Amino acid sequence: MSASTPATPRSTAAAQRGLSIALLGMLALHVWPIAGDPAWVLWGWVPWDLAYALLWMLGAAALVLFMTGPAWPDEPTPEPQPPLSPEGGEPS
Amino acid sequence: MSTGATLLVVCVVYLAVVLAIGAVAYRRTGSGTEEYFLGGRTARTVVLFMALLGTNVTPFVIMGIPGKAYHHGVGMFGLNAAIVALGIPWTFYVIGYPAWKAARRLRAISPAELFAERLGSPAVGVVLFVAFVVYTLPYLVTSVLGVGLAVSTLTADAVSLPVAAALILVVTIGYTALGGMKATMWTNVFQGAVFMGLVLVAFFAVADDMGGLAAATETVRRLAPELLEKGERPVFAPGAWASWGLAISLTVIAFPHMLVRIFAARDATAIKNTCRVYPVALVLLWLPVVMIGVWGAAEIPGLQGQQSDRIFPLMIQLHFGPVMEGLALAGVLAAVMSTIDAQFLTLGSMLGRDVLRRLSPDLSEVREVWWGRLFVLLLAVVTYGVVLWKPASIFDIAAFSFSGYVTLVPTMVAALHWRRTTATGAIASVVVGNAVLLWAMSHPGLEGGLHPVAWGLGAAIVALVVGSWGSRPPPRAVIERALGPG
Repeated sequence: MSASTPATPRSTAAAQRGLSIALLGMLALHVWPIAGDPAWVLWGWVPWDLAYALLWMLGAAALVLFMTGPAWPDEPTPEPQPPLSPEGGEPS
Repeated sequence: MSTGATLLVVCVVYLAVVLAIGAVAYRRTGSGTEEYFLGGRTARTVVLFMALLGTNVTPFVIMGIPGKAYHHGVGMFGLNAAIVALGIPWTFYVIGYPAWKAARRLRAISPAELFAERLGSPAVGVVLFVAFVVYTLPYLVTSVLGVGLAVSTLTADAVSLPVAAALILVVTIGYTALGGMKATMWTNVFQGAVFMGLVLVAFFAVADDMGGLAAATETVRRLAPELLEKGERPVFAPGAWASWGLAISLTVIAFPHMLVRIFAARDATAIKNTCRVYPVALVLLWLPVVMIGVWGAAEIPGLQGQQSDRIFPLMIQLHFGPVMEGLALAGVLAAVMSTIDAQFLTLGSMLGRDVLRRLSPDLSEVREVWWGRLFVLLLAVVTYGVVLWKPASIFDIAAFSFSGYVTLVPTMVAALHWRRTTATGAIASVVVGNAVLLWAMSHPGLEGGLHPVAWGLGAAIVALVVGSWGSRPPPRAVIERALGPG
């Protein structure tokens, strides 16, 4: 994927902050899930605890899309570096 | 055609395709280490995604998870699948991508080599090599054990567990030793398609045979209603739930065989696209295996402890004829082979890069590859011995392995993001983290409601920070060569 408008350091930092907050929210919803009626079933076969996990994964998928977009700017592929001198100083 | 003959034909066809792909890859693989161990770093999105998924999915998912769902119900889905749908892509972003960049800069072949170069210390490479071997070995065992159980169940012990385990090891070593990374990644595309296809077909076909999805759930509600909710089981208590989520999310990137696959990516786009597809693939894979385990508890009650590891092939056997049984077997073979090939290849590369090359800097690349192949053979023999011993269930062996890998994560994150990290801190982190983990595992009841991995991880973080602050960082040139100017 390539962004149509180049990301600026400020917009990337803001997106990464947003990602961190959303991640914390998702973790909280994972550790302390919303309790539902055990007798309730979705589409006649998905019980509440399973439906909740599937819905949570839908949110996770959306968050991953955001993570791989604004929060993850495109960078050029790094070039191989020359080996260092034996003393660990400047490249030989 | 008899059941045995049908199973044999399906499996022979499957193995022939895998070996043919391996042979083609062999002809296209050059002789250098970068070409053999990383396929020349040319993997694009489809190959990278299938290779990572194929490597990630083992009998832990196809056999171990249905086995656990058999006892604990639908809560196993949330406990495992949900959190990794976010956790795995996130670790690719936080660790995988920076590690890929650093590996490109350093031309590193193995994870241990990467961190040794970054921290300017061959000792870091050796310590990580030892840790990777110690925790990959049990993981290898779960894979081969899963195949053995599947084959012996589906053939009603006509092909015994020891014979099946030996066969899978020989074939996998054959194509891995010949074709290297290119062979394993290409075969993984085929293998991933086979096991994904199998799981989805099995899910809908079993449900259909039970009268439909709603009827299948109703059967469970009638016979084992407690499996349709998380309930008050200790395994789902908040502390255990959160710390296991931590373990299973962080462990995947710490598998050396996963990280090295990321090194093989052609560009960042391939890594990003893989992250995007991962959550969808996990739903398609985990939902069927959990539900088949839950339905199995209603249809084949009474399996105790480790016996439930057989529930997936037992359900296939209960509902289908020999062709589907053969496909199920091929699916399990695919899941196993796509993982153990990567594990063998990675450990073989680390022996050469991180141990032998340090001892003998003049070692030729051809000799390095051959030593790697010999080491793989030795690992296969040890794996086979432990499989015959079978010390615990697939899930429990994997849990031990996953927990150990997690203690290596602080070193990885810090080395890639914190320039003050030192070799002393990294080694202290690995040693102390693992010591605390093993202590917590051997003292059940003292973990304060948390999985032992939480204690190991905490100790590894503390040791890393204290060890790094108490020692001198590597020269600036060493750090910038790996991470760039900063």
